[in-house]
Amino acid sequence: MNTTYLYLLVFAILVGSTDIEVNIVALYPSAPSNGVMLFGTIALSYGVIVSILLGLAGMKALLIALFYQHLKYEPKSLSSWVLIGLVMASLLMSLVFIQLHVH
Amino acid sequence: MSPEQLPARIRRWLYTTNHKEIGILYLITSLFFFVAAGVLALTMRSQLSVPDNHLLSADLFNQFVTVHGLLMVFWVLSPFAFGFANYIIPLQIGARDLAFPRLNAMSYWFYLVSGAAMMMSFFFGGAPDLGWTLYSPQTSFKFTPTIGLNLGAAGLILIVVSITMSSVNFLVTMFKMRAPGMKLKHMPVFPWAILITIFMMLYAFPSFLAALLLLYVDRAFGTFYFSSIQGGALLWDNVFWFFGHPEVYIVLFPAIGVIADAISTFTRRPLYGSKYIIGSMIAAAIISFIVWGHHMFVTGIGLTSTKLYTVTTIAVSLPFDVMVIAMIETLVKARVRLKAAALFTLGAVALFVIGGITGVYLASVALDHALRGTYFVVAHFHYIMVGASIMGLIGGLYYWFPKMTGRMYNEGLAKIHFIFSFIGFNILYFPMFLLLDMPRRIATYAPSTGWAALNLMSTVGGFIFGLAQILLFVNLFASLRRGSISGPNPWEAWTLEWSLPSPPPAHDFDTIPAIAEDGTYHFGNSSGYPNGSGYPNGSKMGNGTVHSHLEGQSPWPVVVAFAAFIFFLGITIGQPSNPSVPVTFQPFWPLVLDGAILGVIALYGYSRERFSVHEETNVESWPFREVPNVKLGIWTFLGAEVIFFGVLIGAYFFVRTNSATWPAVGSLFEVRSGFAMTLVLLTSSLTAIMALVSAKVGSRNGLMASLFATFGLGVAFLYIKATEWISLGANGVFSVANGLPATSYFITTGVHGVHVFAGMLMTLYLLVNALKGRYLKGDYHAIEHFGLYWHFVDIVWVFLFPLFYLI
Repeated sequence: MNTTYLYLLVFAILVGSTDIEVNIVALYPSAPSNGVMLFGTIALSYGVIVSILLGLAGMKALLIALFYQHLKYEPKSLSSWVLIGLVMASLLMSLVFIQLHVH
Repeated sequence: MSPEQLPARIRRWLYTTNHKEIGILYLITSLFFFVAAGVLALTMRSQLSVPDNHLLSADLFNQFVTVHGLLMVFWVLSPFAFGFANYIIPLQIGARDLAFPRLNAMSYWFYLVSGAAMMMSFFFGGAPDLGWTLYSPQTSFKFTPTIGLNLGAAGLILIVVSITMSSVNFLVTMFKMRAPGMKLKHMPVFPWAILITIFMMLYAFPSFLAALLLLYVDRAFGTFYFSSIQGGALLWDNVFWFFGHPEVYIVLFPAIGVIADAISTFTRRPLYGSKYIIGSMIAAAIISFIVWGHHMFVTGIGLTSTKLYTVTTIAVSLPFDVMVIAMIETLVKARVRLKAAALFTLGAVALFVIGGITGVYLASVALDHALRGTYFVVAHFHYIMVGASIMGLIGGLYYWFPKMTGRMYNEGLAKIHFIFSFIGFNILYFPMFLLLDMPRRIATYAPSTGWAALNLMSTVGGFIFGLAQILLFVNLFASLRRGSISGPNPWEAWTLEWSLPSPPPAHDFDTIPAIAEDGTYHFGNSSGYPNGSGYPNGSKMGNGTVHSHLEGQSPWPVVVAFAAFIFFLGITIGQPSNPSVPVTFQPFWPLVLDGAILGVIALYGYSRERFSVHEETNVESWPFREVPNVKLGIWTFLGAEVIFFGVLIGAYFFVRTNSATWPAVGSLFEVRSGFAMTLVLLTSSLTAIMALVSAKVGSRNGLMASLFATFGLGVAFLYIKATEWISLGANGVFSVANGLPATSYFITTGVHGVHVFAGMLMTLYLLVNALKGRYLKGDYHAIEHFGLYWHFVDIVWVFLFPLFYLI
C-alpha cells in the first residue's frame, strides 16, 4: 500500500476511535458510577467503560507508535527494546496500583 | 604561565567535550562535594559527641543532616563513579569517545550548577532540613516556608536532567561503539556495572523528577499533591521510594564493578563466575524496583503488601550473596598483591558484607517496626554507601590514577590512608548498630539516655576517617608532579585501557583495536607508544590526522547549563510577598528572562554549531547494528519520558481513587474542547509524518507546507488549551490551588503543554532550515527524529484526553 494512503488510513482510524470514545461518554447518565446502557439492552459498569476508554487510548497509542513512529518497520531489536521497556514500565505502574488497591 | 596561556587553559576545560577531561572534571567536582559533605558530617558528629550540646541549633543540625545526605547521594557517589565511567569506559570498550560528546559536556555542567544550587540554598532562608528523603508533609509550605527548599529542589531537578543526559549517552556508547570483537559478553565487569546502573537510572530518575516537579508546584503554586489527605505522605513515599531503593544500587553497582575488576587484576586471575556476577546484578536491578514498600512498613500499607515486600526484600539480598561468594572464590588460594587499590577494594567487600547482612534484618516487619528511624538504620546504609561504595571508589581512584596521570602514587602513604580509613570507618559506624534505641536526626540528647559513650566513640571514629582523607589528597596531589612514571600497565592488568600509554592520547586509539574471539586483546601488538610518555596536548590518529585537546571543543554546553541555572535561580529565589499565603512562586523576573534568553541563544548556537563526531565503522554494535546512534538515543530518552508521564498519571490516579468525590464528566471540562484538542494533535501527527514523506521524496514545498501545518496545529492546540484554562479560572472555582481535580488537571496538562511548546520550537527551527533547502532526500533524519518526539507528545495526549475529559 502507498505509504501516504497508509498514513491517511491510520489517521482515519485514530479519529474514528476518538469519535467512539466521545460517543460512549455521551451515553452517560448524569452520574458516571451508574454505568451506561448500550443500545438500550447491554448494561456496562463504570469500570468496564473506563477499561474500554483506556483500551481505545492504548490502541491509538499503538497505532501511532507502529506507523507514525515507524516501529513496525524498525529492526526487531529496536521494537523489542521499546516493547520490553513499555512492558516493564506497565508492570511497575501496575504494582503501584495493586498496592493502592490493597491499601 | 603567561597571561596569554591562561585563557587557553581555562577555555580548554570550559569548552572540552573530550571524555577523559570530562571524567577528570567529574572526579574533581565529586571530591569537592565529598569534602563539603564530610565537613557537614563532622560538624554533626561534633554536635552529637556529648549530651546536651549546643554547637549547632536544632534547625541548623537538620539542615546539615539533609544537605549532607543529598550531597553524598546525588553529588558524590554517582558522579564519582561516572568520573571513572567517563574516563575509563570508552578505553575499556575500544571507543574514541562517548556517542554524543557535547551532550556529555552538558551533563557535567548541569551537574556542577545543580550542586551550586543545592549549596546556595543555605543562604536563602535555610537549606532543606527534612532529611534526604524529603518526606511529606514536612515539605509543604506550612511546615517549611523557606525558599531554600525550593532552591534545593531546583538543584535536584537540574541533576536529574544531567543524569538523564548521561544515561542516554552511555547507553548508546556501550551498545553501539564497542571495538570489533568486543561482544557484550566480553565487556569487563565495570562497564557492565555501569550499563546496568544506567538502566536503573532510566527507570528510577524520571520517577524522582516527576516527584520533585509535583513537590515544587505544591510549594510554588499552592497545589495539593502532597498536602492533601488523598495524596499526602503516602503518595510521596510511593513515588520517592520507587526511585529511592533502586538508587541504593545505582550508587553501589559501579563500586562493585571497580571492585570486581581490581580483584581480578590484583589476584592475577580471571574473576570467578564473572557471568554470574553480571547476572546477579541484573537480577538485583530488576528486583530492586519491587522492594520499595519495605521503606513503608510503618505507614500502614496493609498486611498483604508487607508480606509481598518482605519476600522481595529478602529475595534482593540473594544476588548479592552470589557476587560476594564469587569475589571470595577468586581470592581463595590467590597470591593477592596487597597494593592500596587492592586493600580498599577488599575492605569494601568486607564492609559490604556487614552492611548487607544488617539490611536483611530490616526486611522483617517486626524488626523493622523496632529499628525504623534509629541509628541502626544509619549504620546499615552507611556500611553500604560509604563502606562499600566510597571505599570501593577510592580503590578505583588508586587503581586508575596511574592511567590518568602517568604517575604512580605513594604506595606507603596510600596504605596508611587505608588503615586509618578502615579503622576510623568502623569506629565511626559500628557503635551506631548498638545505638538501636537512639532516633536518627535528633540534634541532641539527654545524659540519662546512656548514648553518650557510643556517640563519643562514633565521633572520634568520624574524625579519624575524615582526617585520613587528607592523606588521599596530599598523596595524589604530590604524586601528580613527583610520582614515579607509571608506564602503560603498572598492574599488569588485562583490560583494554592498560594497552594505551598513560595518560592516553587525546583520541585514545591510533587504530581501533580488534578483540580476539575469546575476548582477549593481545597487548604489545598495539600502538608502540613510548612507555608511559603520554600525549597530554595532542597526538596523531592512525590516519595521520592531528587530534588535540583543543579540537572538538564547544562553548555551548556550559552556556546552556549556566542559562538553566540562572533561569531556575530566577524562579526560586524571589521572596514571598505575603508569607501567610501558601504560594512561594515570586520569580525574580530579570533573572528568569536572562536565563530564558540566554538558553534560547545557547540552544540555537548549539544546534547551529558545526561539530562533527567521528563514527567508526565495523564496530561491535549488537543488538542495535542497524539503528543509528541518534535514533537509539531518542528512543531511550522517550523511554525515560514514559516513566515521567507514567508517574504524573499515576499520581492523578492515586489522588483520584483516594478521593470520595470527583467532579462528574462534563461538569468542569467541556468534552467538546478536549475532543477538538485531540483532533488537532492527531492531525498534527499526520502532518508531521507527511513532512517526513515529503523530505524523503525531495519535495521542498511539501516539506515546508507540512512543517508549517504542524506548527500551526501546535499553535491551535495551545490556543484552545489557553482558552480553556482562562475560562476555568474566570469562573473562580477552578484555579491551580483549588482542590485536587484542579491540581492534577492543571499540572498534568500543563507539563504536556510545555512539551507541545518545545516541539513547536523544534518545528520552527526545522522550518527555518527547510527554507534554506535542507532535509531533502537523504538528509531527512532531523525530520524523522523530530517526528519521534512529536508523536510521543501526541500519544501522551491520547491518554490524557479520556483520563481528564471522559472518565
